[in-house]
Amino acid sequence: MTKPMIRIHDTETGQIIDREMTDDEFKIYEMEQKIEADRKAAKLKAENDKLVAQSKLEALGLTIDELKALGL
Amino acid sequence: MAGAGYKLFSTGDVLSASDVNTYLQQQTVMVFASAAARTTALSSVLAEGMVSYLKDTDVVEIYTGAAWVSLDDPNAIQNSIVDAKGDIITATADNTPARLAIGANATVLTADSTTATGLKWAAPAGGGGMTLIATTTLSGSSISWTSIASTYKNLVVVVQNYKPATNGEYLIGQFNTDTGTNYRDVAASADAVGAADRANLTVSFEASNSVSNSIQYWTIYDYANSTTYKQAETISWNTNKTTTTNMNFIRRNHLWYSAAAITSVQLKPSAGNFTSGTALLYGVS
Repeated sequence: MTKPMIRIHDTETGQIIDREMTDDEFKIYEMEQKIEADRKAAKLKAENDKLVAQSKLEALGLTIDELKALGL
Repeated sequence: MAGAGYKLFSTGDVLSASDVNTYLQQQTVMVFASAAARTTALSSVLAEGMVSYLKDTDVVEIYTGAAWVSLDDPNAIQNSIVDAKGDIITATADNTPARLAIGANATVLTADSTTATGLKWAAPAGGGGMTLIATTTLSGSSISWTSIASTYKNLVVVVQNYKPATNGEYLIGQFNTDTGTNYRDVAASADAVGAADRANLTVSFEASNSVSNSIQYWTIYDYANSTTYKQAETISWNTNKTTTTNMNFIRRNHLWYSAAAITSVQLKPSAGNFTSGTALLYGVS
């Protein structure tokens, strides 16, 4: 499997190298990608939960302002 | 005509008008094509005080009795005073010209009474300035600037037209390839900020992968010290991931919970690859 490419620019020599990630770099990359995917999934779930809750409120004939008035 | 050389007159010779014109009037200074021609012409009649002009080098010389030497006009600066490109002519005293060799690149001429000429080439003092260290096209899954010199006060990063391959990926940064949870972002002021909670500093909002008019400007303060945590400030405008005629703006402060001197900076999309964009790294003096 081809690993992602990275670009390294040595500011001392001006040399630019494009290469595949090493195994260690790839492990970290995959870990970062998983964290990012989890974060996005959590964000999406929170948005969906909010929509579901709003739908239930509407079904009950309540508004968010009325909930606030109840101190909820 | 001038340049005829030298004629030896003998007793009884008729002095013609031509001889006078050629050998006297026109050759108060004898004119020769070259030093070799002069040597040939005067091989047996050299005398101290002769003056000649050499056409090939445009030099007037006088014969000392031992050698031909250039006339040194005391009121003229001789070509030989300079030796190389960039030399300048100055003085060490009254009526005493002197050469000052070119200084190092980017230095400026500075008065200094302690030097022989009263001048020196020196780095510009004060005023500060920005030096472009590197310009890098965004490519692959990350770009890294390595071996960053520690000679500046701050670093400035400018990212132009960042575009991720995957829609909605925001631009992030890391220092010294530190991928640990050692970063903290604050979008506004905040008291009692807790421990580091991120593995990178988040620079932009979620960005469009189809249109990019984005621009990010970072300042990384006092990056080279090895005794304090490092702070950075980022200002970001990026094209909205859904409505590409809209732009998102955010200004954040960041703290890297590390006292290490920053010697490398990494930029990457939050996931996937870059499609395009350019990043510039400046050192601020």
